[in-house]
Amino acid sequence: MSAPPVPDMHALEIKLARALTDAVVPQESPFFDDLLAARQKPSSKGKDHDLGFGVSAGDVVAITFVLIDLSKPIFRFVWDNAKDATGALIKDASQNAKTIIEHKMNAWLDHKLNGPAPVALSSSQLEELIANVGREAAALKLDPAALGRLDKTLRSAFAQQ
Amino acid sequence: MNPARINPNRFPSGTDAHFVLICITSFMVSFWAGRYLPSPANLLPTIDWHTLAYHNSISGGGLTGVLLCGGLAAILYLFHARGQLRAFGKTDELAVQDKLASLIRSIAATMGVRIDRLLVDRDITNADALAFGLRKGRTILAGKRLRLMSVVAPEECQARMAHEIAHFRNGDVAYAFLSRALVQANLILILLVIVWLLLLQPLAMVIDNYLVWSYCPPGDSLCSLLKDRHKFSDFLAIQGPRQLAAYGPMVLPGLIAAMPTALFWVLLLFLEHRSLLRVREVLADAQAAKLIGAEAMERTLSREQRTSSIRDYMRSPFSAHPRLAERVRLIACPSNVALPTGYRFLFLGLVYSVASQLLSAYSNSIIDLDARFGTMFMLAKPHDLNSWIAVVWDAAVFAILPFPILAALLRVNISSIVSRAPPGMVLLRILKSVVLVGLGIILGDVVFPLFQFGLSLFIGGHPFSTSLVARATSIGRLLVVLRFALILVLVAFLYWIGLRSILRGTRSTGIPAILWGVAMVSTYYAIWMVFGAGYAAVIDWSAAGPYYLFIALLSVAIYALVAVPVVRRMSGKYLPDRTEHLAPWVYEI
Repeated sequence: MSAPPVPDMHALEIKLARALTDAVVPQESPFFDDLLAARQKPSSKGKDHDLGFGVSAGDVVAITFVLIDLSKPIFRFVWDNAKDATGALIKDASQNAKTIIEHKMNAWLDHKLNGPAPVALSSSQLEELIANVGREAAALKLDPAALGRLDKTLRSAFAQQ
Repeated sequence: MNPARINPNRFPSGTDAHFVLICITSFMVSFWAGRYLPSPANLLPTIDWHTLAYHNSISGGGLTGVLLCGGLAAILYLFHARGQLRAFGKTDELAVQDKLASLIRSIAATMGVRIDRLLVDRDITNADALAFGLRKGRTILAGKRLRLMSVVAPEECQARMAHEIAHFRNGDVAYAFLSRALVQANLILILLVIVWLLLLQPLAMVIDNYLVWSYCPPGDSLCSLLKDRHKFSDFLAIQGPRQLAAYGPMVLPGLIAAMPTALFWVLLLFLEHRSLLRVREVLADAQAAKLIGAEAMERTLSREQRTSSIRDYMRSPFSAHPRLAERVRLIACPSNVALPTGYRFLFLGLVYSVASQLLSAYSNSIIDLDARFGTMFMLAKPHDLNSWIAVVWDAAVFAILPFPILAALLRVNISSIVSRAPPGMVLLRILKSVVLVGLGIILGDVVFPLFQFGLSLFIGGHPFSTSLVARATSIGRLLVVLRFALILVLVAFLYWIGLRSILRGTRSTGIPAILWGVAMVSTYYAIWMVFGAGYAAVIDWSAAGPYYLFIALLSVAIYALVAVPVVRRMSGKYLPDRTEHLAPWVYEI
């Protein structure tokens, strides 16, 4: 049986990425929209101006980009494994129920992961999530300090249930 | 700021010498192009179609090209800021309270540079920055990513902005845009030559033939009656195919004859322009490293792969920026910033040869046209203003032409003394540099005339006037080159002696460029006079030996009178026991 379509995932992913940015690298928050636009629509390699500095910025300030990339697998994991208040898996819930949960997640993400999470992950699932995120982050070369803050943010977010 | 770090920007500027070379090359190119173009006298007040039709590069005067080039370059330079504003797309003024703005203003204040406008583009992926603008419009245009960098990697952002502001501090923004304007103006000039040869001159020939065809002698009433049958359209209908058959084949050979030489000039100009851009980059890096620190500069330069591929090496002469590995190496070793490469000396020798050939051809052509000029160049007559102008011109050319070579030799000595190279190493460097100059001269002697000689054979089956096909390489010519090389070695030795005093003196403020120029040129003149007089005395002692000996001694005395006070002024008090530190001005920001 194929995985059910996740409603409005793109917008929720973006909100999750924004919330994680605010928590992990708040100094990059003012630039989130620009970075997201650049990430979604990568521009071609910039022209090397004769009278410019001559060296690109490379991977400087790439943390937001990494968080944007990580938001998708985080969200997919949560959606596939989390349960609602009745203890049922969200992915098996009715369309109406999914819509309600989606709205609750929207609000929770708008409040930057503050307050009880609208979905529940068991301890083992949370650990599995953290481990998956760690692997993905290592592949994306996320700064260890930033990874530590991300780890702490996720634990804090899903601990409040 | 690191007070113990030397600042290569305090040394005589490499960009000055590069710019002089670009001016020399631009003059040569525009002079060459101008000889193909018609004179304004043939266009105003009425168009002289006959002269236009038969104008050629032998009879043409090059000054038209020089004036045209100068005018075009001035316009292009005055409006360069408009083009630069569009370099990054749409921009906004940077808010005063923005962290990047504060960072830029702080660095500018430390460097004593006034910035009039701060702009930022809208592309978050762009971490580049440009510095441009004339005196009251100095602008820094930054990519939006630098705003982000100012928050998350402030030291690297500082390094990048210090580099840009250093361009203003070093005064090389004007050089960069002026030299670009000169290159563009010369390209336009060469395009004009192509259009003239390909289209306009053949058209002038046709019109001239039409005027002959439609001419009615005075008193010829029948011809006057038939005047309405002498329209241009009638001429084309009757004579068109013949005109095409006659002049079509004449167009291409002229173009083929001119274009390889034009490409040679364009390549020369382009390479020199790029060389100037690279020098200004390493000097700006050095200034930024002095102010912000070498580590921040190295870190931001290391954002891209540092190792150079073969392709990088091949591209480097055409690149506006030095190879990354080279930039990082010079950050780590600032004393080597002043050291010109071996290729540089080879190039300087080539340009010296080509320039002296062209000027020699110009002088010979003028003498061919009017023999009085020959006398004028040889001796100034006190009552004849023109002859004094000619002598001053010769003296100026004599000083300016080798100036880039002299400046490069000076910088070899500076780099050697600052890095505390042993005398044996200094001598080796000087000899290597001079040998390369000599090889470059010989290369220029052979390569440039080959273009003209080969093409003249192609076109007419025989070489053009020998005054245009310059000197062949022979034993005699090699001896002349050897003599010049020996003079350069002696000059470099005197530079070394003077610099030991200057770099170990007590002077605290920077040395003005004029003092460096006087010291360099006066040394060259003195050696040349002594060498020339000595050589003449040996060759012909019985006839005028004592006279030439007197000239040689007089030259030495005049040089001592000029050089000693200049060097004293440049050095302050000389401290021979100063081995650990150089003069204070070497460490200034």
